[in-house]
Amino acid sequence: MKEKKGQISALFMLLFMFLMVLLIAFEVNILTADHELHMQYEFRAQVLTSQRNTEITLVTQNPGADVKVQNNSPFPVTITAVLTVDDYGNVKIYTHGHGLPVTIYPGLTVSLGGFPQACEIIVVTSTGASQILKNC
Amino acid sequence: MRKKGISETLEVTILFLISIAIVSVVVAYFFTNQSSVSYSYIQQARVQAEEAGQIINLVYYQTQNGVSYFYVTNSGDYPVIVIAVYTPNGPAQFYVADPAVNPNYQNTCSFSYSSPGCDTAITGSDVFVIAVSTQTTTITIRTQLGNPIAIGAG
Repeated sequence: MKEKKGQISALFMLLFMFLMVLLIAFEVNILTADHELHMQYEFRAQVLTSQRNTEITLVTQNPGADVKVQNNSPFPVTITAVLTVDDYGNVKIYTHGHGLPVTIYPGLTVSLGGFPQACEIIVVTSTGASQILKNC
Repeated sequence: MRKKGISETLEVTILFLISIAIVSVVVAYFFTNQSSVSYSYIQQARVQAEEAGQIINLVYYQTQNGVSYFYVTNSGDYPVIVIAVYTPNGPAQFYVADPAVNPNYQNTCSFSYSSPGCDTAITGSDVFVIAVSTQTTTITIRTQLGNPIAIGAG
């Protein structure tokens, strides 16, 4: 009789463990999704904060010759693209060449090279911040 | 005196059946109510995470010949596929192009109410163009996730 009761206890134990494994599996799934959500919100907040605090200024005033820019932001900024707009409104986008992408550390100046004569010059950073360096 | 009762085999069988019935009820509840709640939460969390990871930034805006051009970048974690563009006056025809891939996009891409156009996904470090076939300074794009993103140049 004791042996049979032991078998029943073992059966209950196995079923209990099976349920626990199921429960843990569900919890892990929920925690993973929750973690991913929080990471994305954190990432979004960082990107938007970085965009707000990005400040790039044009050093060289003659864009036809050599465009020099300075990073006045309190953190390194990576310029990924430069847009130029001529007098007729034609937009040219430079994403490769001209040393792009280029990372500029706070307070430093970097030369992006020569661009065709442009009425407007816009720089785009890796966080999506854009700044018009020169207006028509 | 003879004691009346059930045999050990019958006792074990009854206990076994009772335990199976209880476990069946618990498992059935777990797989219906709990699992559906868990899965819906997980699904919702993932969609929200993808929406949070879709960050579209307006870089430059211009209008030419009645067409509005929104130059945008995606600085988020997830690609953005535009499936509709709305202006304050309603849905508008549009196309999405990557000038680095299609420099002649103004002549080759065609407008549509639902097709993304020449380049489907706004992703990476390239500057993409969302061209809208009407003059407007504000659009709201709807992504493949159903995520509305407002882009304003005003």
